[in-house]
Amino acid sequence: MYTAGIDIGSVSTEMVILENAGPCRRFIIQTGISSRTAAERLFSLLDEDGGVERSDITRTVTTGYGRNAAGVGDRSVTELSCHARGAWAVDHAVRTVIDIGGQDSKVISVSPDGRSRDFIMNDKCAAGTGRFLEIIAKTLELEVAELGALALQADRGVKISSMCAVFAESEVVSLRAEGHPREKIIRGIADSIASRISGMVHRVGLEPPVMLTGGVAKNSGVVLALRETLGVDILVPPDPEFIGALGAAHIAAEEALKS
Amino acid sequence: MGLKEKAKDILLNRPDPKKISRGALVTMLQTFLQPARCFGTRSEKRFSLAAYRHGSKFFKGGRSVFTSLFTPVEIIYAFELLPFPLEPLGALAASFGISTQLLQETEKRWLSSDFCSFHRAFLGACTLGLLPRPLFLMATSHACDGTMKSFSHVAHLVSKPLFFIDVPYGDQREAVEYAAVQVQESVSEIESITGRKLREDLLAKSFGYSNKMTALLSKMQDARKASPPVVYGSETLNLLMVWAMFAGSRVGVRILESYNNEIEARLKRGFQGVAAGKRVLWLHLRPYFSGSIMSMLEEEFRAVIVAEEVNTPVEEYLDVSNPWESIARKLLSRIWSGSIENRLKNIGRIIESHGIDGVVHFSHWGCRQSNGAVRMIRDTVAGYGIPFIELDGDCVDPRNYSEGQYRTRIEAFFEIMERR
Repeated sequence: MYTAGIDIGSVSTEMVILENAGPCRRFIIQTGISSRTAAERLFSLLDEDGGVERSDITRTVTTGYGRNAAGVGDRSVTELSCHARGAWAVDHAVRTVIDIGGQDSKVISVSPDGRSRDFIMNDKCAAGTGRFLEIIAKTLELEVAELGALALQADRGVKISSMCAVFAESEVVSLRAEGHPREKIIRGIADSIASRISGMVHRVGLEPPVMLTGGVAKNSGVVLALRETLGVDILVPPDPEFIGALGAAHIAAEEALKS
Repeated sequence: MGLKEKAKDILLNRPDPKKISRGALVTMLQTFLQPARCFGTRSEKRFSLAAYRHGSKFFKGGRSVFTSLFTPVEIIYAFELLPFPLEPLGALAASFGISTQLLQETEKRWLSSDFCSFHRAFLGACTLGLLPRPLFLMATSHACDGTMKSFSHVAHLVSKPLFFIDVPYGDQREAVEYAAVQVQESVSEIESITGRKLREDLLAKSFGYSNKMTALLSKMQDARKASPPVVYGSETLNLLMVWAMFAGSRVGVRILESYNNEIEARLKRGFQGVAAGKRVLWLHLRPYFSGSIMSMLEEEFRAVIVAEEVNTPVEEYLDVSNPWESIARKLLSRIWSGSIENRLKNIGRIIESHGIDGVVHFSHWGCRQSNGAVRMIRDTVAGYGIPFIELDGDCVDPRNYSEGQYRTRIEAFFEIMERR
């Protein structure tokens, strides 16, 4: 039995296919302007890839920002439930999930059976999100993927006082003009994200083990900053950007078995 | 130009209270009370007709008094004057789609956008000259800390006196006396402004109606403990306006009787119009502009609000043999007065009595007195083992509303409730 989970985020869309609840295929693309088109493109990729076809899939669950707009799948489930389920699938011991996505960040308390039992989402602004890092990378004329390694090169960060993505951008420009090395600025950015997330973690209740999911988890600078701010180890799954889709695929598998 | 557009035009571009037509008022009220899915019946009609008549008298230049949400309006009725609560204007303006313009009016005049938008909306209306001048203003310091400032400002704008009752913290003897003296002094001031003595028979009548309303609200809230629910909470949340406008009047009694009768009749015949899955307790107010989250919660996710904190009956009855003290006691026994413990105990009581599955706190931007307690509320709710969600937003200002963000939060909250 094949089941699919599709996580349609504001930046990227991921698909995970499970075969009898075990890993099988996965794809990632840029979302673009249409959630529906993004989801359809993933199904086309699946068909092209061979082996598993769309018609073989017993049940599909969509999640993420575009979960309803995509108009595909059998059911939509929020990314809060899917990230909890996905992180739990990777490691049953996980009790807290921090998901830093493209346009929002969330902290989820996970029950021993892999359900979301409480959560906090960021305020309605882009501070401390993937989009925030994209803006900073662009300002420093870097690729987002380069930020993590550069942050680690600095022993400490420059204090970034603006939480607003737009104001932080101009602050970074000023700091560069003042001659601060970009490694220290990037480290400072990671610290500011960690400080913001830390408040959210404590609001939900810090219960280790903590797992960081979403694309920003690939940024080792943010991981280090979170580890230092929270004072606990931060688990990073091998493919953090797929955790939402993985959770959706597992929920689909569970539901398919029940029915 | 449709009726609604015409009304907006009159309100915003030609703000002359005398030109506020019957049509404009009716349209405004209709919009406010929509969607009236459940009470599109007798009680709903009675409420809207009463509000229309009240508004009509007010705009025709009736002898009115600007009041705050918890002003003891029984006194105003006893003087045969017309209370006109200012805070509900924000809700009315939001549902009618003109709150942004009113708020912008205050922003032009340097009023901080951190200040509560309910207050900013009526300040905007007064600045525009939308409201006829009252005889005087009467307000209390609870529940909103900003009332003293905003009502003083309105008093200045309309050049009329403000009688302000500072409601103290706690309910000990000294606190009751402190509030009672202020009520009595206000009455003396009103007597000198109106040039007539307060008639005891009219005060007794007004107290009688108010007590009857208290009993009716208690009865109604008791009836709503029944499962499945027969009414949507997004509609009963409007009842706060009935208190602010009609407490101490025959009209108020009639409206609540109507609601009670309807609920009783529905329970008797096994009304199926409210599709309920989960039972929700709603804390604080709701957003009033269109496209808000209420129908998403109640109709789409079938998480029906079966109790609202703001409709908690105050179990203090007014006593004409000791009028000022009984009013003081009533003011002090509201859940918003004094220690946060009162509010927490009330929440616990409702969770137990109404079989609540989940609790929503709508944290209205600028409302310090309510939002400051969220952590303690969350802990209280957690003690009952049920989920809690805090939704941040604004009840009046639609400019920061993002449906997608609310949808994810409400849906995730529902998913947690559903699995329990």
